Amino acid sequence: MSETVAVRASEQPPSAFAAAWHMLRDVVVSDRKAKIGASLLVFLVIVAIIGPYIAPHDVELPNTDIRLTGPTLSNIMGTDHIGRDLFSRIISGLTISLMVATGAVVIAVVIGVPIGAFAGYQGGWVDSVIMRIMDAIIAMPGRLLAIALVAAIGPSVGALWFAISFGSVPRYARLIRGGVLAQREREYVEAARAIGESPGSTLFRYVLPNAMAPVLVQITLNFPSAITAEASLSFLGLGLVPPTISWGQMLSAAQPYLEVAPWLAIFPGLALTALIMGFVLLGDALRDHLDPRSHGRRRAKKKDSA
Amino acid sequence: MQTDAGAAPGTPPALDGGAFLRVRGLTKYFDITGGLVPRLLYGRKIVHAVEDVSFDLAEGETLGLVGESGSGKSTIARVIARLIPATAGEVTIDGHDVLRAGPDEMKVIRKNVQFVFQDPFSSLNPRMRIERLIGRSLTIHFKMNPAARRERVIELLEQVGLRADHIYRYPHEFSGGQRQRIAIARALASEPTMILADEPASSLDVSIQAQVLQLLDEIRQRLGLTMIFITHDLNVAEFVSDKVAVMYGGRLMELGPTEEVLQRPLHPYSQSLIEARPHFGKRERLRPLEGEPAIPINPPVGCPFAHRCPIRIDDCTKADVPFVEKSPGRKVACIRV
Amino acid sequence: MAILDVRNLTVDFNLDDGGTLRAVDDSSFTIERGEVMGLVGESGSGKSVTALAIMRLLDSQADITAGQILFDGEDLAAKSEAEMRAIRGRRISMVFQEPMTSLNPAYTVGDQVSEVFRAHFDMGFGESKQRAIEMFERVKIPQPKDTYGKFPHEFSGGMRQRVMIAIALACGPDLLIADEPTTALDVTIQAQVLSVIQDLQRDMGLALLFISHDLEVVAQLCDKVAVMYGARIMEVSESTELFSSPRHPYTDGLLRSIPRRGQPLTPIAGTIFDLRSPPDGCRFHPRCPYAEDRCRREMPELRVVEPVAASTDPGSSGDSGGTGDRRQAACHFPLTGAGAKA
Repeated sequence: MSETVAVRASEQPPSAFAAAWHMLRDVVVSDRKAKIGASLLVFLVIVAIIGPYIAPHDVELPNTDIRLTGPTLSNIMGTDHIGRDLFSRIISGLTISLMVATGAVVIAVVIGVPIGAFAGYQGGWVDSVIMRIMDAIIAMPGRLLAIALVAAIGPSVGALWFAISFGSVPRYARLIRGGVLAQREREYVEAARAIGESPGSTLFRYVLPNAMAPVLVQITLNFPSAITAEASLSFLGLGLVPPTISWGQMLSAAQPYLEVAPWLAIFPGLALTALIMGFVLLGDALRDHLDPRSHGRRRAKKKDSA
Repeated sequence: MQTDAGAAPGTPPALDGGAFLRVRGLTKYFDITGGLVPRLLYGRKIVHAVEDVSFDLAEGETLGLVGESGSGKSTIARVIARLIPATAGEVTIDGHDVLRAGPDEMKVIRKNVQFVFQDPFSSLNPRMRIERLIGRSLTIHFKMNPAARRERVIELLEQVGLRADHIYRYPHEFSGGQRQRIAIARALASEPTMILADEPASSLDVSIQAQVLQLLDEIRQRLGLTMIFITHDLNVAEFVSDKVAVMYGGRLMELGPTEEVLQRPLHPYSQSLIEARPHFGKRERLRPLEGEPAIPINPPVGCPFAHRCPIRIDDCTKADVPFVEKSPGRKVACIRV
Repeated sequence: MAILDVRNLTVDFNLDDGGTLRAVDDSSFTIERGEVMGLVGESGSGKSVTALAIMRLLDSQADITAGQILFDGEDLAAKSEAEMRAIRGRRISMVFQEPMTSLNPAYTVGDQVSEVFRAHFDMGFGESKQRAIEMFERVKIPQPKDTYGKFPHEFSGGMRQRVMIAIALACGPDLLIADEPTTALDVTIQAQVLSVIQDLQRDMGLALLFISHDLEVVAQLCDKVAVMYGARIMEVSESTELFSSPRHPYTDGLLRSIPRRGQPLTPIAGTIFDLRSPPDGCRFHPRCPYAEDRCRREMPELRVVEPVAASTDPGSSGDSGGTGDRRQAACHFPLTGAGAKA
């Protein structure tokens, strides 16, 4: 037996997030699809963060001399109907898009996970009532619900967060409830009780960390839908309004000029596609990783280490 | 019955006749009806997993609880440790009324009574490093600071034959035998007085099983632990236990000193169990008992073994068979003995 | 002539990371007609892989890289898949540990047994059903006629294993391979299934290769026993002698690992090596209490050992010794028999 000692400097907290992070790292290291997705995302996030500093032009400064010009050396993605630099505006839109989507996903996770965990751990009628409410929300068409909510609250980043996250809360609740129910029967959870762990401690230290993996997949797949939701709402004029820049809004503004300046729609469209692709590739790889049937390699590995 | 709830540590409660563990009429039913509709159609389905079990165990004694799958032996241990609630009955450990203890008393009981599970692959949290996995118990019961905790975990690891640097590893980095050693170290961390071991070695290879048994036996003797050792393997029961209890269909069939029960079994079930065991140098044909144990779902009155029993008479199924003392320390549930 | 003569069998697994793992290494043993041979070992010893190699049922990652499997004089290792299909089930049958996975849940057990008759003999439906019911009787399934129309899930583990035995023996094979057939069963049920196997083996004059980790079951059932450790055969012997006076330190250690009342356990120290990087010399030397320098350098071949006394090992002989013919051990310093007393 090889007794190589992997001594690590400090003990990592075995939190649910650490667990998710470990899985993410494993998948990105071993799966090509995940590698492409993750690289794409890392690149886009960096661009979003340093965007304001690398944007070649002021996003709001009109220049009537160069209205609706195609890609040139100084405006590599061309200009819009009042001569603003499209490239700079797309970078700015990326920041906004990520911000809205991240906010919406975080809110959905922060609300959905505790609800599901509570329902699953509690069981009985509490579980039934909570889960029926979740079913009711899932039964409503999500995009329509978001439109109605934004229309009621009025367009703002906060309203978008709320409207977009509302429909996905039940998905997290359901997922984590299923995980909790499965984990609750595991012997190490029984063992936790046997050494005297309190119920709360059992839930947070034993049950949740082992139930978090599917949530991570849901998160990566939730991002594309949040991004498109924001884009469609803004496209309809229900989302973000100028001066905030949004890709949906840019696509909407490009409509009258489609024949003379197609790049006004093509570049924001491509940007949107790239961002969504990043998440979908990563999310797919994570899902494969979690589903052993689609992944013979992991099973074989397990067999000979057992 | 009087119990010494406030007994000082170390002084055995005198009024229980010296019994450290006292089990009376312990019963556990599982409702497996499966919802309202089946219930209306077919009536309730109740598994009588444990039925009216009573026995005593003195301090430092080991009871081997023997039986085949479905006999209720694992359920008994879980009910005694209150990992699952009992349906009826009474369990007293060192003067504590386990089944009725409040949260504070339960904390003391949890500290004193530890469990070792059968499957070392599923009983260890895969996301905890060994330091934390064993150390949680120290944090819970002794509020140790991290430095002291680490030191103690290393001490415990060394006691079970593992090394100090193992504290940084995760369970999946260990073999089955090593994992069971970790589970034992975890059980010892709270400095218990009693250990319930549910087939702790039966999933392991022969040579590794022997190592784990040897370790448990050595620890039991050194720390003077009281132990219930659940096993289906009569060799193992013979090796570890002072007393043996044979279970069938949720009931105790026979109880007595190990040697007597295994060498001169009185109950026809114990006899057939011992005869069914293969032996070295016994090349003659096996004489197995026919039939299979029935899962005790809504069981009828009478002896659960009657349907397979070679010496059954009509009276066996007319009323429940009392578990009576045949000689000092020797109890049997059979009207033909 | 032996019905099965395995010569220098070697099986390699190709691992995903590009490495190879030798699961069976240069193993040789024979089984005579009507003989019951036990193959004993712990996990990773290669006992199941040996069985699958004989059946030629190894999965795609594994290859027989050397050796011969002479069955009735013909080398199974050289046969095509089509040729093997005619042998499997007809002349060599196998029973596995978990009968539920080998039985088709969608068909009645009667269909599955009678199907064997229809497939291998030119038999009509009525006759095959009759023969299937006869087989159920022979494996002592109560109410064989009612059993015919039942599905696998309606049976207990012990009954399913009897159905598997009925299927395996339907065609009257020459050799039955049973891989831990009673490991998942309770003691009394195990005894029932073992006695069924024992009876049928005697009635049919069947050669049986019985694979198990349980030494006592093997002692009860087998005429001859081979002990495997780390892909290699450590010792081959007549059964009663093997268990009364083991010649290989590993066999001795296994016997000492069985708990006995009033005796201290003296288990083998350590754990099995990683099969991907086997130790030099004798595979058992890192755990062997008697290992010497030579054991660390030089791999001992399986060879006939002298019947006690003429050994260099410390400790007096004085044991019954027995006939001692054909006792083989792969050890430079075989035990003299005195060390093994229970």
